[in-house]
Amino acid sequence: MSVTTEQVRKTLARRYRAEKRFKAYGICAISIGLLALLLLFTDIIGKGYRAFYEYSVALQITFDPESLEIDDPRDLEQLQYGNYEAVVREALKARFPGVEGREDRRALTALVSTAAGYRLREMLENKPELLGQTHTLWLQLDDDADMFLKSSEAKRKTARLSDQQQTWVLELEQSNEVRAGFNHSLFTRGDSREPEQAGILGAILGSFFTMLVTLALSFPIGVAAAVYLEEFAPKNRFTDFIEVNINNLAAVPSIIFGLLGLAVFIGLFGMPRSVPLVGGLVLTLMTLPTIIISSRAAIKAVPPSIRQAAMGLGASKMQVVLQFVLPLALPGMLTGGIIGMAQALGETAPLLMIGMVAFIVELPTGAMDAATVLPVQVFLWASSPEQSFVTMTSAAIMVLMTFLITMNTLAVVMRKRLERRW
Amino acid sequence: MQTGQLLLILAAMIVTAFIMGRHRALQVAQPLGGIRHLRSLPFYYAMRSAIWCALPALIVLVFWLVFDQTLIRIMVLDSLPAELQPVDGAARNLMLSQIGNVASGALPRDFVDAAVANAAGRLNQLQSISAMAMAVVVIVLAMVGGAWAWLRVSARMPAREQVERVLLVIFMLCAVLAVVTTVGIVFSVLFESIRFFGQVPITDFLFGLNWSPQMALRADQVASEGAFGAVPLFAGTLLISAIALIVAVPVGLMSAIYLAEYAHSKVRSFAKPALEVLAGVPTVVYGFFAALTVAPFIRDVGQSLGLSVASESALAAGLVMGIMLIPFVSSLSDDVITAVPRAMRDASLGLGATRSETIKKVIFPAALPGIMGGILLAASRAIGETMIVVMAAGLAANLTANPLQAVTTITVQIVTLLTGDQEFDSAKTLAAFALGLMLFITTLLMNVVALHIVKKYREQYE
Amino acid sequence: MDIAEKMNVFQDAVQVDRRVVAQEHMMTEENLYIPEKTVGAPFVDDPKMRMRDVNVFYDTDQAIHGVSLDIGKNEVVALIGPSGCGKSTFLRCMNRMNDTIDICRVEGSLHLENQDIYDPKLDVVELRARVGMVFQKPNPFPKSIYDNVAYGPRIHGLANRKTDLDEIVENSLRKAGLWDEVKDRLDSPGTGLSGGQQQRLCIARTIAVSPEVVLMDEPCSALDPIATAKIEELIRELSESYTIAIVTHSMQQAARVSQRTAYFHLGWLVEMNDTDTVFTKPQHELTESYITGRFG
Repeated sequence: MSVTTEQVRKTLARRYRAEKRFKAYGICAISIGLLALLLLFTDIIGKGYRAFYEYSVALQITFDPESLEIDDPRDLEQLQYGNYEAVVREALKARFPGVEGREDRRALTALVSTAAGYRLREMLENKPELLGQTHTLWLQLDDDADMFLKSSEAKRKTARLSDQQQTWVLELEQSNEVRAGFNHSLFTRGDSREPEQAGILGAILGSFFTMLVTLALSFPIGVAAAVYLEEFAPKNRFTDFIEVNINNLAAVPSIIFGLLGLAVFIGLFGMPRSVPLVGGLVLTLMTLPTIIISSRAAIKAVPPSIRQAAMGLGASKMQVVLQFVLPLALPGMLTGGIIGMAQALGETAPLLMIGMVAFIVELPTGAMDAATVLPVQVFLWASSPEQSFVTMTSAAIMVLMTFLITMNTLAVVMRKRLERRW
Repeated sequence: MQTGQLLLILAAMIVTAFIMGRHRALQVAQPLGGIRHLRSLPFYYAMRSAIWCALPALIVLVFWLVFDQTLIRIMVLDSLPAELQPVDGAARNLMLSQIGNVASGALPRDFVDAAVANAAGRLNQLQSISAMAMAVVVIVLAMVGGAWAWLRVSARMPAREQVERVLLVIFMLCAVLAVVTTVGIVFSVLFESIRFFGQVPITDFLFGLNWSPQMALRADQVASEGAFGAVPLFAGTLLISAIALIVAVPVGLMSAIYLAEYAHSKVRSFAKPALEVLAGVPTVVYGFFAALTVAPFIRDVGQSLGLSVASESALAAGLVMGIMLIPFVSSLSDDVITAVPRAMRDASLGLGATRSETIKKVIFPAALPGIMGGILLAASRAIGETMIVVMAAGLAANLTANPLQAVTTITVQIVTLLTGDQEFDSAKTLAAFALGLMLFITTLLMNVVALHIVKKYREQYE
Repeated sequence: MDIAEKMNVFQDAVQVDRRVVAQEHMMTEENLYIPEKTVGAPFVDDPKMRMRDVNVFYDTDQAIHGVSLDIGKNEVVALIGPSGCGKSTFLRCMNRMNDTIDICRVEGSLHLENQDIYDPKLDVVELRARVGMVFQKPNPFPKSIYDNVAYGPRIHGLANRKTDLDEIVENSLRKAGLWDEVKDRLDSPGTGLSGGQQQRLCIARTIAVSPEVVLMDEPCSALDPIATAKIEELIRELSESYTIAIVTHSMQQAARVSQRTAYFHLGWLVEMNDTDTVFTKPQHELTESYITGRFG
């Protein structure tokens, strides 16, 4: 046995221990990353799944003309000023006859959402003959009562209901006069101060219009810029300067784009605040570098032989690019486009700067209506104190993440397709 | 007329110009003996007509839309009697919004001064005139342009060359937009910052230890009384970024090394996309997670250990920001590590080095410049990250290095100063732009250096 | 017959079958055939390395087909053959560098003296310290010249004192014939040397660990003729103290540096003999065709 072998053998144990340690660090690091992911998702799903259903209560509602102060349900003005709360109050009084005193009555009425009144009005407007009739209706509960029913036994003690309210709700629960159903208002309404009436449709529409503007601008501009830089740009200092600019813009903090939007689009051009158009413009500038960089990679991946073949047939450079290179590079460009859109859809900070952070109840109908977007809605609700809004926030995050994961998966699938072709 | 309708009409005109241009080219070609005798294909004559129809009209339309509101406002304000003329920017904005409200009918005419009501009337009148004029000008331009192109169609005209030249210029302008954006950023933050430094000396801003911008709002205090000292913000930003990097760099780097050098392909095909999901999570979600889950957890743990932990501790924000940066560091490191040539690995393994020795003594030193570049990019991200700190870090500008206390950051203050109803040129608002300038300069420098290092590194092994 | 014997018979049958298939393939293409048994004298007495029936697979593709040969003590063996004939793959089996390729699988018996190289209990680290390797392209680490040479001794803990290490570095550089050229700039990066110097640095780095066998994978293919001459000179000198296996493209090089030569063809070892015999009186048509330049 040689000297070397002897020497090497002496060190082996120590070196293999170091090897094992190093590998363990690696496993640790991966585990930390995956654990964080798992924690994040379980936390949000655990907090948010309850927002997808809601409790309502069965009440014997009498459309009593006197309580409602309505004698002609076809008169719109009367309908508008009808006292629907009184009807709900009467129904509750009938269900809990023992409740006396102003305070207690008010506490009892507070169990039912104010949305119940709007619902009664809507019913009466659609079916005027209901006036004077009595029906058993399932009415939305107020968010506090709703949260109480959704909570586990242990957590119920810390609910925001008074002891008396808790006994009422428990009584209703035991006699099966409350039931859980799909939370329609989450997907059909805009923002509201009342958690049980708030929904994310307004934010989804706002995001949709913002994305529409972003997509319509950033994709064509990004592709055009990529084509220019990759195929036509002369090799000179100015082209280098453009490239340096693009690479740097890709790493500029997004909030800076918000400042740009505020100073230029709103300050200089006098565009209105809070509208998806301005949001879309800001996000266009923000996503452009991403789209340009990935589009250039896609163009680079087109084999030069195709260019040479077309050029050899006498096609002009522009014809070669538009008729051969672009169609072949398109899937790669779309992949980049989707990734850019996903980035824009999740972006919050620059939109805060241009005022898309307002409390807006109405659903936006176009790119010029004041609106908010999904991530900003998450931000707004996250700072609300009500427990129900925490649930709603998590639900909004789940919806947002569903969109994002779908988009990213689409991009990955497209990239795979592309790889197979070459 | 609505802009949308106008655009539809314009689109129809462009299509018409295209069809007519093509028809005309065919007509010209017929007596000559077919399209072989045209200099370009009929398609290019058609495109040329469409471009002539669209381009001038669209350019005018865009400029009109961008500047008409500003011009109308100036004209409306000029129409006000002298005693109602606003004295400063704030009053001007107030007056404009009042006139706007009256004009849109949100505010009844009887509520305001007769002169304001008149101005509102004038605003409505000017706006409808502007809209009409825009429609007429755009349509006439489109018609003239299209007609001119149609008349000029001839067999010897190099239509293809012309169309391609126009396209090339459009492509180039798109690329130049990146430069325009940078210039726009620089000017928008620079101008407002210069105005800010006119009110608050730049040395006070850069070296002042006391940050409380609220004081500037009080009438009895002037902005320049040392309330805009940004040092606590810089320190807070550094503290949170440092915590984030302490989490992200080792974890991200080791994950990348493990995945590139050790992991079984099955583990890799699962763990890599999982980490990518982490990268795709919006920052507002991390912010929510930090504020509602991590921060209370850290506070409770601290309390059970007998430590006083702020409910908005720098630690919580930094930790979550670190998690956000893990995939970023990991993917940058992965690029760099896989760029080290296989020959290096083989040489080391061939000498009998273990894998970890090869990584530690050969690959890591070789990849170090690239990794440093990646860390610098991550640091620049941490400094510019907004939502996590807005939601999970505090507003109080404490000058402390204790991660259990609440600190505030540059981005938090920008958001705080600019959300809500501020006047556009109060010292508070301007301070946000000054902070934005600092942020931009810092991150720009870091990015330029980092990208340069990474580029040099790549070239070394190409 | 027990199971093991049955397996052997079965494997032999498969082996023969494969050769027949390959023969048919060859007959149509080159009108030549691969011999069932290696021609010449592949074996020696008391070999340093003993390889028997080595098969190598990349996934499902077989790259080496039942190669058996010996490498004697302190001799230089040249492995020649047309490109893609598996000679580099075979070389890399000898210090298990193929382990770093996931899809690569090695069968057969390979021994370094009495040690089974593919024994699962054997330590690769130890093996590679005994069987060093020099690669096709010079691959110095991006470190100083000194650190390059000291790398092996350092990781294996061969020197306890700085002076010992200095001595190892100087000796190795001297043996590699590089000392006079670099002794004044040991701290400058190894990547700054010329291609030939870099390759000699890599050889110095390999012998700094005092291996028993040095494997060289086309060490001169990236070098100019003058640098090549220096390396060949070096190989001849090294053969006094080391056993060397060298893969080469150049028949002249094989003739100049080696004592024995093995000719590989499409993963089979066709002929192995004294270098002189192989080049002057090749016994197999394939070898002759290659040597006379009919293909290659």
